[in-house]
Amino acid sequence: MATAAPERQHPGFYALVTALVIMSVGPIVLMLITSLRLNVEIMSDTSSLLFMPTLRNYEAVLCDVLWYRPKAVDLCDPTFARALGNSLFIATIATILTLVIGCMAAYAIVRFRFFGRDGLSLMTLIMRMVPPAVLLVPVFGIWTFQFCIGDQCAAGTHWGIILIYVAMNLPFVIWILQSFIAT
Amino acid sequence: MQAANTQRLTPYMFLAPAIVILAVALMYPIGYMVYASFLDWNPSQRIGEAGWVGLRNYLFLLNDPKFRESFSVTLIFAASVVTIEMALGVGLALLLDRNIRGMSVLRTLFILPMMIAPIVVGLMWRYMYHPTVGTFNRTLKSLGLAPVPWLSDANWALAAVIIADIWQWTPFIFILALAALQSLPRSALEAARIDGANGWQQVLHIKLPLMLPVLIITGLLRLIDAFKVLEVVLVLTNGGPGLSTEILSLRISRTASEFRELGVAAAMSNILLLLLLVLTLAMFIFNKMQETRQARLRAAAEKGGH
Repeated sequence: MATAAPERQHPGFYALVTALVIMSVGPIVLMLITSLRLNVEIMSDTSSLLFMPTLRNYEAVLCDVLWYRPKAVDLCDPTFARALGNSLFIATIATILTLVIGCMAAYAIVRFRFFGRDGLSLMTLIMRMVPPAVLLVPVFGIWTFQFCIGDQCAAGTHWGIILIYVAMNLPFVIWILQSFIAT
Repeated sequence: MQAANTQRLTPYMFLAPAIVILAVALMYPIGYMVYASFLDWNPSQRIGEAGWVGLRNYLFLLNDPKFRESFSVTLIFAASVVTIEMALGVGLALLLDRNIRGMSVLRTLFILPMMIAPIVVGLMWRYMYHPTVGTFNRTLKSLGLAPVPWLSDANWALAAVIIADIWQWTPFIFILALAALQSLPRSALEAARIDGANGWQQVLHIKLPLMLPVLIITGLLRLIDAFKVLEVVLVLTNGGPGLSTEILSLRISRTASEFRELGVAAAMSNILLLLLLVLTLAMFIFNKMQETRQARLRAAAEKGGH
């Protein structure tokens, strides 16, 4: 069935597919286009699709890490570049840790028969449903007052965020990898 | 003896890191939250200094009209989002289940909205909902229609939040429904076609019933995720105008950070968690039932074959 030659479809079908693609990708494209325009243009009353694309917005947010000093930017705000660095660092470490730990756990659940196996897969499912907002209060309390090494507490450090990210994403990763390893 | 012991310990060694992390960073906080929901606790205090108030936080919530309103907003949001997404996603899957060129490209394009960070989705839609320069009102204006107060009117704001969520998550249901549709047994469909069933009859009596198990699991997953939404609403409306879009997650975060009532926020989290626990257990039980039923069917088929 899958190798059969594509059938000819009704033109209305193609119209529907096109409309769906525009609907799902449109907002993303719009965001990209808007990022290439100047503020004056975005806020002006006359909207036009024809405009001079400019990279000035990107220069403004990345001004701190660029190798040259952008002319159009008067005041360089280093927050974005720092936040981007933080995001990259935290996301990379958290992803690696989650994958390694999740792989090990999923492998054990699929390949071994041991006491507590069924309960464990129910537990991962239950923990997948915990909303981030629910963790707000306890994580605030524990991270600021209890998870401390000497003077340094987990709150406000990269490792504190990485710990909670790994914990929140582990159940999902184990759940997905379980079916992957089983096949 | 030694070897047998290590053999028995192997799965636990593989599981140990995951269990330690989940216990320290997920189970312990949840237990902590249950305990905190019985306290009158202020962010500047350590938990040991907070006073024990028993069930007062829960009683307060039961009599709090704002909490009840935000609870019903959450239910309305989750119910409408899941219903519309299921109808759209399954409908589109039935329509697009054709043998066309470039289906994998299309699928990738449809998945794109799910890949975007919730905060960015919120910002994108906030720009499009902008009262004067936003895409929607601009289009309405160029068509000669009156602009719509997307985010400043109570009824429209909830609709706006729901539309944004539908945009982001209908593809999820579409992809899963399409996968289920394409793995249906061809023999049943062919038999129906030979018996002269038309398109609608095939969909109603063959395709949908066969897809039902997958659809129920998908719907429950979506329902659980709909209760977890926070960032999109936070960026789009921050709960306003009034309390019209203040879903429970948002109310929890505001109670904790603005009103500085950690005990009440914990009690609210607890209620939300219980609600989700019931949903998850329903999903688990349904899954188990489905598995045993399939195993029984397979056993019956094997017996019949011999």
